[in-house]
Amino acid sequence: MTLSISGIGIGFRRAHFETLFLSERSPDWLEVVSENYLDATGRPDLVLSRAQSRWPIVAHGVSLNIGADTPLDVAYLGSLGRLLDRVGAEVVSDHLCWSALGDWHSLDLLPLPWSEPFVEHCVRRIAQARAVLGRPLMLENITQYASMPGSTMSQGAFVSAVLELSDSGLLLDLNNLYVNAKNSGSSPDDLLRELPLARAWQVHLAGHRLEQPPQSVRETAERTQGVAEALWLDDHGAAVCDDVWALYETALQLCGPIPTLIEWDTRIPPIEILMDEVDRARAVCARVLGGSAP
Amino acid sequence: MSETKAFFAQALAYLKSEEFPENSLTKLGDNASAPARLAWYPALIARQQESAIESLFSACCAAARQLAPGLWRELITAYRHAYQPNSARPTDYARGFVPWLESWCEQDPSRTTLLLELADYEWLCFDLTAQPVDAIGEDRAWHIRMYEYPVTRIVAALAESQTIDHLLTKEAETLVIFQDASTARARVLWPTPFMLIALAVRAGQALPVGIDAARVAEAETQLRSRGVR
Repeated sequence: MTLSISGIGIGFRRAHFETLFLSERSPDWLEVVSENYLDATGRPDLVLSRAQSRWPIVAHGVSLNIGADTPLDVAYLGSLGRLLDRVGAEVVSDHLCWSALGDWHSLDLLPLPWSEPFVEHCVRRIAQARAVLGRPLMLENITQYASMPGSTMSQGAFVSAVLELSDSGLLLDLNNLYVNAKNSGSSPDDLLRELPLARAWQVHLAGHRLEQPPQSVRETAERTQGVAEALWLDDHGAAVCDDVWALYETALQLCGPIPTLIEWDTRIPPIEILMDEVDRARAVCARVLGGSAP
Repeated sequence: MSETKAFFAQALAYLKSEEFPENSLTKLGDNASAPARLAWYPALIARQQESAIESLFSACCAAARQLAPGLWRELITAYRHAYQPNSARPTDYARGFVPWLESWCEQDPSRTTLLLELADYEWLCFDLTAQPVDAIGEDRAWHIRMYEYPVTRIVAALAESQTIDHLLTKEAETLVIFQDASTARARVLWPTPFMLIALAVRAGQALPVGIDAARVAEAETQLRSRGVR
């Protein structure tokens, strides 16, 4: 499937609600976090309408909770469906993970065991969500700071199986992939090639940082005679690093033109810095793809 | 119990800090990371939940950090222990922070009410911006507050990353916080006494005996001209 959006988008965040409209440079499309605009009224509604009048909008969610084993949240799906209708979404964009169980919500993206039972489980729930929302799903490969018990396959094999069997798209997050590679001592290039790139419908690029283990991790390490490691965290709080740009070149060579999002969600810089990243992505596309728009 | 159900039962117990990873998750099957690696997840979840509060109550957070080292950490940790998110929307989680902070202040009269006032102001501003702009008469688009501290000046100073030491003297200010219908932004008005009476009348109270009705009507006109619907 090829999405109708093309080119380089940016995340539409509160810090840029005014300055984006004043900038002489422009992204090709905007991404909004779905949860911030569900049944929007007041300022979120006005801001979204204003953005919609100028750019194509892609809604990307964090709460579909496709991997959990409690029933899908019908109220959430209803609100999400209305938002997707409003922005003319072709797909339901979220993450291949779980985030809540019953009344407990983590507000985070949590990993699943990579195993056949969980492949079947996810495929079943994707079919349910697709039936309600009337659109195919496009799911992002998440950062995974630990392997879950019972995993019998690689993340790439797990993602491939779920997306193939459910006929869904891959939201190829190259920063997540890179962070996973760094934290697991793997080759980013190998991890990239394990993913179902023929199903990649969109790319995410972002920044990350190294963090020392917090107290609770050090205590666990001490209690279990383990090692408290520093980890690379996908915090979307820095410019895209050179290694991820190199990975983007490889991905473009393997996938061809593909809409690409620059994410920057913490320590958000002025809009012109963000637009520098957009320009760099355009330059990479021009170099790798020639005249083809991403 | 199926493999999926067993996983989620143990994962939930662990993530809610009811179990150590070595007593729960890692016993479910092979190939799990070491407990010290798994232990990152509760820390990362805590950070996400704290971020939901900090992003909405940035002035309260910044003020607490200036008032005493560790105060914000103490507050946010206590709030997380008292309440866990029960909805996918971070703002729903933030909604409970002001009532919780109020009870925190009530538990010990020596605790400053400044943080409560800042949080209350920030929540009202946020909540007003999300109100429908065309719902006049249905959802009230204004609130009256009398704060003990100069909340608006403190918020402005904190937004510029300035210190607030010189603003910590109690200096009551009465505000009307309202939604601007054209932008849906929250705005502030320092009301005259007649404006306050006009708003009380709007809210259904009878005009007090001896009050000049014409001046109240004039104040009502002024309120509407300033955008207080």
